[in-house]
Amino acid sequence: MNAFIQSIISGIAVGAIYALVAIGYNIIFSTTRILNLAQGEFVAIGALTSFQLEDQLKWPLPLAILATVGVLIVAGFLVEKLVMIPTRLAGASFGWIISTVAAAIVIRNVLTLPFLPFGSDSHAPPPLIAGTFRLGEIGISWQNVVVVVFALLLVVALELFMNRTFTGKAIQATSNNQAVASLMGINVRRIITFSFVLSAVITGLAGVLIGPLTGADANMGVDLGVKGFVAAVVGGMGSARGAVFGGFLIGLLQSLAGWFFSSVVNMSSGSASYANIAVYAVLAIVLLASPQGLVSLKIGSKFKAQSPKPAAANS
Amino acid sequence: MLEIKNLTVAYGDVTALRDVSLEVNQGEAVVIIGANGAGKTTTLKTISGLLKPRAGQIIFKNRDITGLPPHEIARAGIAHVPEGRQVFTNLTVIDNLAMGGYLWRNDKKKYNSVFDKVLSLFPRLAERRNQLAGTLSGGEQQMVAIGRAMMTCPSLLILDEPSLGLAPLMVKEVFNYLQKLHQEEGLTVLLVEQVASVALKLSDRGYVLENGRLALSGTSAELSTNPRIRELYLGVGSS
Amino acid sequence: MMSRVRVLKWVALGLGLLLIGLWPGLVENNKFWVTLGAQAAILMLLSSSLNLALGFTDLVSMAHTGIYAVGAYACGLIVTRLGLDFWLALPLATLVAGAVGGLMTLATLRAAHLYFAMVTLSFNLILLQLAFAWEGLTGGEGGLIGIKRPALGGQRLDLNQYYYLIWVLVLVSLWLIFNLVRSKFGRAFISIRGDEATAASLGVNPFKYKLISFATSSAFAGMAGALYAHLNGFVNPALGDSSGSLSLFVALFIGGVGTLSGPLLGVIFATGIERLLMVGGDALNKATNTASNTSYQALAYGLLLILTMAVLPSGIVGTWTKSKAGRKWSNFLAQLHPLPKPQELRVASSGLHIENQKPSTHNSFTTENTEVSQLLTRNPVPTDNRQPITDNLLNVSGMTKSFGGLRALRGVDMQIEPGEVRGLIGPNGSGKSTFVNVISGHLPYDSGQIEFGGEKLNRPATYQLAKRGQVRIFQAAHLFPNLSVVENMLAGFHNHSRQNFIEAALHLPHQREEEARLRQEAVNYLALVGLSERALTLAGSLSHGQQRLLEVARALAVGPRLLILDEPATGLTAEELRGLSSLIASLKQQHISVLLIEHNIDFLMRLCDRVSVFEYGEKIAEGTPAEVQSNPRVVVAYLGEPETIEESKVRP
Repeated sequence: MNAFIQSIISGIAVGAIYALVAIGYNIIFSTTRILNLAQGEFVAIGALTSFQLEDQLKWPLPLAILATVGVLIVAGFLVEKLVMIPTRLAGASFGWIISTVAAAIVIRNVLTLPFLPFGSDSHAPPPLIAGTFRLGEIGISWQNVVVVVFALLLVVALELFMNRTFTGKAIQATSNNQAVASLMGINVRRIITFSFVLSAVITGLAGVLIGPLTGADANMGVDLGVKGFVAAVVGGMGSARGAVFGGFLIGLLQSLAGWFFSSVVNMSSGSASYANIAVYAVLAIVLLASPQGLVSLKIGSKFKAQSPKPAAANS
Repeated sequence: MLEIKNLTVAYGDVTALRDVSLEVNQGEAVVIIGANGAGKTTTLKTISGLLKPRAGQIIFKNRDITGLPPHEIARAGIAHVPEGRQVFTNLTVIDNLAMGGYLWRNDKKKYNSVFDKVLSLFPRLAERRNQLAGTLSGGEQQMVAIGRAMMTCPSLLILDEPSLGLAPLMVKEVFNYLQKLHQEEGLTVLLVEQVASVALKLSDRGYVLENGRLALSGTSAELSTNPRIRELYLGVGSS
Repeated sequence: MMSRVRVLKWVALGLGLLLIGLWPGLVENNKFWVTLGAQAAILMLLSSSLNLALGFTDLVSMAHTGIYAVGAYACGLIVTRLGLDFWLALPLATLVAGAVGGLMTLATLRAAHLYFAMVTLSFNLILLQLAFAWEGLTGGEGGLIGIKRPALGGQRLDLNQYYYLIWVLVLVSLWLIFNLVRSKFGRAFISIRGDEATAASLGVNPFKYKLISFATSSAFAGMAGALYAHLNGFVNPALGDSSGSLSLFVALFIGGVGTLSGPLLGVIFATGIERLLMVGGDALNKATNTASNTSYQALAYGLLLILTMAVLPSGIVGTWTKSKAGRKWSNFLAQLHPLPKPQELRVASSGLHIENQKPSTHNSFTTENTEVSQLLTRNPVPTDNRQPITDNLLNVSGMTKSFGGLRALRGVDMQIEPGEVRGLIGPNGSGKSTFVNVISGHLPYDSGQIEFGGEKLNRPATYQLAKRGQVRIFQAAHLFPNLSVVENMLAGFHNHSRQNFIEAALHLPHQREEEARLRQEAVNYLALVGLSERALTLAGSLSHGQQRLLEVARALAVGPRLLILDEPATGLTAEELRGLSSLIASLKQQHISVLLIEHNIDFLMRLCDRVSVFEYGEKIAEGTPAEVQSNPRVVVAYLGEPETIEESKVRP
């Protein structure tokens, strides 16, 4: 019973992280219509930087987080150039697959360069708030609470930003129609760069939060990137609420499936793989049943014949 | 106000516009007519910066704006109402207008005064303020598109086929609004239109594009009586 | 002339074969380099298979490495566990991979474009995790070991012999893929890539051909995997790693997507880059005296990829065809492979075509009645088993359709007789477009009935209706702009092509004859609309009027009994309008019905036998033009008060 409840708690915490990564995918997707397959790498940048500043250099926590945000802003800016310049040039429709994966390779290997302090080992960042508290029989670590509360605050702040500010609305307008957005005086390129920066900060902060729970290393973004992607798609690309829903769903599912295969089926090994299979199977099922995700926002789902592609060479 | 000199525009190998020159004076309404593929939309898109010309010059208020990105041309005072309305379907009517007022985002006072003025011009939009623009009818969407363009406080409004896909009654209403903007507000208008009869009624002067070249120009009265125009674009004559 | 191009082709092919043949000798039978040569062959097959799905059918598959692994595992399991021979295991593994790919497509019925990429990526992740987790079958992380090279006549092949075997199998497979792409099947794939709705309106069943494309592509990918398993000697989950698909995409991208030679060149190029990086990395290790500089190597790889994208944005083949020399070369080839001459059939023709070819906007649709009639009677559709219709051609009853809470159609009935020209008008949002989309199978309806050609159809798909003769011409030109005019035309003959998959893949005589016949027909049609001179130019570079003409010719090639025209008058000059009127009149002569949706009231009223008027999803009036125009309800809802009619008329 205890193991079951513990797995629910960790599922919620991990789910909050997935939700943040999923939101990161969404932001870039909405302005560019590409899936940034280097999204997970922002998690590693965030986790490693904050670990370095806070634990190794002993900076005070708020300052370390602030400086990490600064690093993430720069990272988002650079990744945008790295990804978007070749994608714009590319003649093929799948250019983004190559440029984003190449960007992921570049980031991962930059992080392990000998002159940087990270190396390829896994580090163990300390929790932001140490200790546990008891709720009846169950011990809950404060870090889990911090993760969920901080993640939810971030989501709320982002929602307010998107719906209450000109820049937020400009992102939505750009998402809907880039050319017309530019006719309104919106600098679309700058909005796209901004969306990468915003996405990097949110996803990187997810790394700051998850580091103390899972450890931090240069390759941690691979798995989190995939899970965040699954959460984004299951929730519905382009929908922030969907991302949160998808994140918690996937986090809980993975955690409970892991518990099921290890405690109920009593598997000695491979339970993690089966938990992953469960997650991906849910992704496949959701995509098959409702390609727009569970919380559908219907981006570009309009029937083709009714809204013909704007013919480039038309009059 | 706007002067286009020897403009040539191409899509890859296909030259859409060849050596076109035209001008629009302060306070005028000018129409460009021509068949599909004649280069009308290309002309407008090049003026507003969505397309880069291969050769030629665009001068707006004595400033060379050739090749500037669209957001800077919008800032310079040209508002483009695109073909097929293209409202932001995922935003409400109000937020569509707000995007038109993006330029005034740091000037609350100016923004509010422009906003009030546009709503008074289009009272229908005030009724629908919180509705998603994608759920409006075609005519209402056209008003959103025009209202949104007016939010940029343009000195020149360019419109691409405002009648496209609208029922006859709706076409009339939209053109009434344009008439009002032009005559009562003194707005300078450059218009592309298939429905030449309605467009020539609104405009002072007109240009005729054929196959990417300027074929004819003159006052609207001259054009409406020109036998060639009557035959080709007004359908009067031999049939 | 013909022989010269043949010679050139054979020389190029011969040189390639010679290099392949001499390769083991050139590298002095060095194991490493021979293996590399064999790997290149396998990678060429793999990326050509991906190209079939992605490049030609626009199915962005992120599962090809997974399917490659499926082929490898299947073959490995069959030989190690079942003890079957390689010669049996290879086709079986190919089939298994094809089946897995087919199942994937069946499951992705509703996913398009980006979603297809996502679904296939998720399948790839599942396959990979299964390989890890299902230890009993796959050997888990360690994988399957002890897969020996195949034996021939009791004698196990040595590396060189297996190298040659791989190349033979790969070349044969590539030949099959080449043939497929240049057949009815390839045309169907490319139509779907261009636009699915258009493909369906030409009679292509998009789902069927996606399934064929992806299953075939998967089978070849699986075969590549099976060959690799026997080259490598073992199979492990790393084989299916989706990050491995990067080099696949890279090879395809660098070579040129959707071209036949692209993947082959791309593989050579990509393999070269990787080798260079490895050599460079080793040199760096020696120079700096460090054990490993893997991160520098990978970093350089990533940066090089991004650089290559910037330098070769359309790949080697694309950059070549866009270059001056490349254009000259393709012009040269076109001269050597001329299209057939159009067959003389303008017996009574007035020579109007000569005029038509002048590049002027106001001459489209000026085809004379006689010529269109000839075109239609010459229709290669042996109007096969179609019963002559005496009753209604189209009979729609009780049609309803809602979008969420919006009731777009509220029980609409409509009957169209053979040879009738029917107009459909109504205010914006009255349900006209929805109605047309519903009866042409582009949108599902909620309830109601459709009868076409006397046949009750239960929720017919677009392609089924096209097969029965309901053809739609869209409002905006729906040509395939990146295909030549004649290729666009050929796409219209899909329904009349009888070749099957095997005939197409093996390029059998029957198929070759049919191809020649269809090309001849295509050229005839083009001659009749005055486009023969432009047959080899890209459809996208035609003028607007010519594009509309080509679209009409293509629609007629499908063999229509009902032609649906969606605002055809938009953007036409008065002269073009007259041409369009005479075209519609001659369709009527041939007992082809026309459904005309149009805002140009004047034009519509002159042409139509009867007019239906919609408002708020209901039919509020129907009758002759005169009846409709005097119907007070129609005036209020749509036309406007009498004095405003004058102004609102599009062209008075």
